[in-house]
Amino acid sequence: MVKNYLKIALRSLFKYKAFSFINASGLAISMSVCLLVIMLIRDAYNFDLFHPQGERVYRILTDAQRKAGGQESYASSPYPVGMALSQDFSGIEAWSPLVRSFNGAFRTSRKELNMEGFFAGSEFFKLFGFRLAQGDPATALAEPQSVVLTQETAQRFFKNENPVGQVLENNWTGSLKVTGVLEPFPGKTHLEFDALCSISTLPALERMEPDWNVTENWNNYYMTYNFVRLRPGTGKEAAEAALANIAKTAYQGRELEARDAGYRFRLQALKEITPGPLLSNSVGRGAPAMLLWFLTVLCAIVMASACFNYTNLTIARAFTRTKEVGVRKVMGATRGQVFGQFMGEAVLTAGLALVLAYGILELTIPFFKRLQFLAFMDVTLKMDWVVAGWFLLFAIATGVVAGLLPAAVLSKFQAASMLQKLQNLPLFRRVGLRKTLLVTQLAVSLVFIVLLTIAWRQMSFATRENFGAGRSDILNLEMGGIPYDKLAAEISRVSQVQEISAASHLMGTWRDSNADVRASRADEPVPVRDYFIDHRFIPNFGLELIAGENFPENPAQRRELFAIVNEKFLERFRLGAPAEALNRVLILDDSSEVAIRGVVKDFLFKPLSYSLEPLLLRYDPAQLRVLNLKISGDPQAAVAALENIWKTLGSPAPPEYRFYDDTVRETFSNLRDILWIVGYFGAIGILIACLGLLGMAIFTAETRSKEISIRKVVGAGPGNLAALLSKGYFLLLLIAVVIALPVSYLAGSQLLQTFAYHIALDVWAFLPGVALLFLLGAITVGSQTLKAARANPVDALRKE
Amino acid sequence: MIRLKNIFKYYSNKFVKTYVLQDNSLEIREGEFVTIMGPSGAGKSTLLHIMGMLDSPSSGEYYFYGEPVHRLGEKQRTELHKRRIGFVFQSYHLIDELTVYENLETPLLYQKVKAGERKSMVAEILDRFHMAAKKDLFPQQLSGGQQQLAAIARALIIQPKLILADEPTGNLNSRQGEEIMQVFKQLNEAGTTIVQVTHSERNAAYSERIIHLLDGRIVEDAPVSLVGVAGE
Repeated sequence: MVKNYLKIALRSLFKYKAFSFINASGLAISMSVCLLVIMLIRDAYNFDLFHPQGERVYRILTDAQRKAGGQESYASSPYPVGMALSQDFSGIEAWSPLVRSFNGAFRTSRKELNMEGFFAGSEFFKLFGFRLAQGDPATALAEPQSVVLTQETAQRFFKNENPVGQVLENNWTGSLKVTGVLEPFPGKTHLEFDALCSISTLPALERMEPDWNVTENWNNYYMTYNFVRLRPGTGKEAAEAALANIAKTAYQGRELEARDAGYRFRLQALKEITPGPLLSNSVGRGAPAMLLWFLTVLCAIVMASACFNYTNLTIARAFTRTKEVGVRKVMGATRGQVFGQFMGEAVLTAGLALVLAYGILELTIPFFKRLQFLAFMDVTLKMDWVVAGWFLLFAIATGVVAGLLPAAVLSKFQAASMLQKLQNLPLFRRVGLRKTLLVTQLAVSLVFIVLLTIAWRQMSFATRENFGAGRSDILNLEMGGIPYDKLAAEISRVSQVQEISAASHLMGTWRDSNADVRASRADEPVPVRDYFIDHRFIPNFGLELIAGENFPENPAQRRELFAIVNEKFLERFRLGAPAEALNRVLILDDSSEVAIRGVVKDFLFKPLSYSLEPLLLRYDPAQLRVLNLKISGDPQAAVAALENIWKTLGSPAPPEYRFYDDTVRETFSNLRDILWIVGYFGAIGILIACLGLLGMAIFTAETRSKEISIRKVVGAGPGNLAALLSKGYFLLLLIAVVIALPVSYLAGSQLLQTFAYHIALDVWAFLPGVALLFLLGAITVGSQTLKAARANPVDALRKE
Repeated sequence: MIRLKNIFKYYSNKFVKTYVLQDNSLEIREGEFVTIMGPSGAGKSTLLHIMGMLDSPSSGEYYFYGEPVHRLGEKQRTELHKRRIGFVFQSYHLIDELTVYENLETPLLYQKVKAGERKSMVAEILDRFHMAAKKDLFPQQLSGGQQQLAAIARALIIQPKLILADEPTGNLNSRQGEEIMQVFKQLNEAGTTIVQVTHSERNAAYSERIIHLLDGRIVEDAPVSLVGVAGE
């Protein structure tokens, strides 16, 4: 029986090649992205699976309640909270805090390299599944000044020497003894580190810097990730109740961070970290659950559209199959058997589509691997049996979904009516449903295209208007710890360098720094974005001073004296006209008092998603981190000269430099990636809608062949006939446009709302999409109608 | 074998009911060879479909071997007809995607006959109709007469008690038609009940009893000898 079905399914697939192609390729194209997303999701659930009793491991999260209302959830929590829980609550089997900020340049006698990692608790190896290739897990992180390296890091420092017992020097932590080397990680993990330093090293460091405290500071919920493993039988709720108690006693009467009203702590299971909710202060890689959901929804839309097509075409084509169904019923097939047969065909088509889809996937994977945010999520996209199993299951499910309606409709008919005149069947009078499906597909595609057009134009606009855009003449060079005056003096010897200025960080990027500003002692402090610049920055970037003067050069300055602000700043602090504001005193961060020395004309110093805000420009040579070199002549030569000079400066790291307009492009790279993805889905959507249109056109041309022939016999020309046949589709397209335009207008305005500065929604946002849709529609439908209109009428009439 | 009581059949659309069959009662005994005649649109095919359980009457009672068909569900009706009734159509209705062999095999598949048995049954019927050489051809590769022979072979493979034929020679030339009617005659002599719908007086002459339908009503039901077409 199954063999018989398979045979007939294969034969009918081959017999109606055009339809089979449309069906299988439509399914395959959309399936290929779904396969990709299946791989992504599978990959995302591959994190942190290697830890012993990992199901009992939790991370303590902080919900910081704001005075202004609302709360923000942090992946980190105060160090003392974790310690108190491990000491006061009997249900804790192991606790390991991971404290950030263990990073910087580390030296051996021969080498200096950068490392990043954590200060880790002594129970780290008891808690996590990382294994030591060398060293004792029980003691490796026990003593102060101990460090454990990953195999890769050990290799970088020590090549083939035995690392254990060697010493690494760092300006901040002092000498650290290598007590262990990790085996390569047994699997993916959200924890990323080159090295782990014993947490007992911290107290000594804290004593050196009175302002900085982690291990005793209940308000520092930024630095520490507290991981605990509960004892078997201990519930998460019990531990959270213990946390609530700890918080209650610890924060009673304690002064909190200025903006906070209180803190709540809760536990997050290890397996819920990746993929997991978006939290502030997240560490490491892995896809946030939201992104996976977003992609899944996109997939569902595209897949539904492809299934629509299958359903639509199969029902449309039913008239070629009704006879067969009738005959089978006459021969004793039950409804269930006919249903099964059509389901079988759908699943087979889906299976065929799967093969095609896999081919497409293989072709597109390299493209996806180039996307930055996928790389950031540490996506490997590899095949294994589980993924293959999911693929198969997905294909079967697709077949079932796509085949359900046609199978139900076709198996329902009574044998006798199937054998009669087909045009009389109710099925063929009900084209309304199919038209509705088609219009929906077209409308959804159009919304996609329009949104894409808008987003693309907005992105080009934002890139073009961003600070530093088009400045291919400015090369930004990270100072890499070399003093400003020394580096500037050396660099100025390069003949291509016309001008040198410096800043703490670059304008027009996402990087931020704030100062709390007050105009008088009585005021509440207001955070204002600040940049430290040198005296050459303003002329170098052509900023316009509308009042006052630039900073005076003062390399030996011991205390900040001046500030330059923008017009918006004057407005915010009600300082009146630019000229009046000069010499007004500002109090910065409670510590320094500076006088306003100049006012710059407002300009956009952040990406366009930010509105224009008050700006504070400060002068402190010690805070400068990046040089802006204005280059003329051959940039290649300039870069080469720069590299040469850098070597003479004795910096252990190679120079880091980038042209400003490259930085601007980089700034929007995530957005661009997302656009690519949406565009890819959009293209697939359009393709599928066109395939659907093509199927409908073939169907109409077939069913109306008699009418066409008669019209021809009475004298209609191909032009008249093409017009006659296309008219209906033109109407469908028109309806789709009418539906899609308001929807995309609303969605487009929403999209643009996220940018403080955005393009206007004019006709050019919509016209390209509409034109594209009509063009594709005309090609698709036109090809079929012309074919029908040109056919010899006698052939069609003879068949009747 | 077949007893129809007050059978009505109508189609209703929004405004009117169109009667195809009106108040027909009829009995057919085992071993009969019956012809249904009448002008186009008289309801001949509908009556045949109702007898074959492919269609159900709008009202009335239908007993098949004493079983009240009008009270059975679709599944039970299928069960009843698939073992006892063979159909032959004017336009053959072979499945185009299957070879002759596979077409003949299909009814057996629906009866869940085992593979070995199926093979021998198909081989036997192919022999009987001298079609063994054509078993791997597709329907379009056969002449009309051969297609109809294959269709009859397919109807007979389940060894039905009743054969319902709807204009079986309508698409054939007269020589082919003659051959088909000879086959029917032999089957009837071997004990199979046959009901055929035809326009052709010549075909009707093969049967024993003629039922005349006009506008959905049986207007005449008499043995062939009395109707007087037998002589010609």
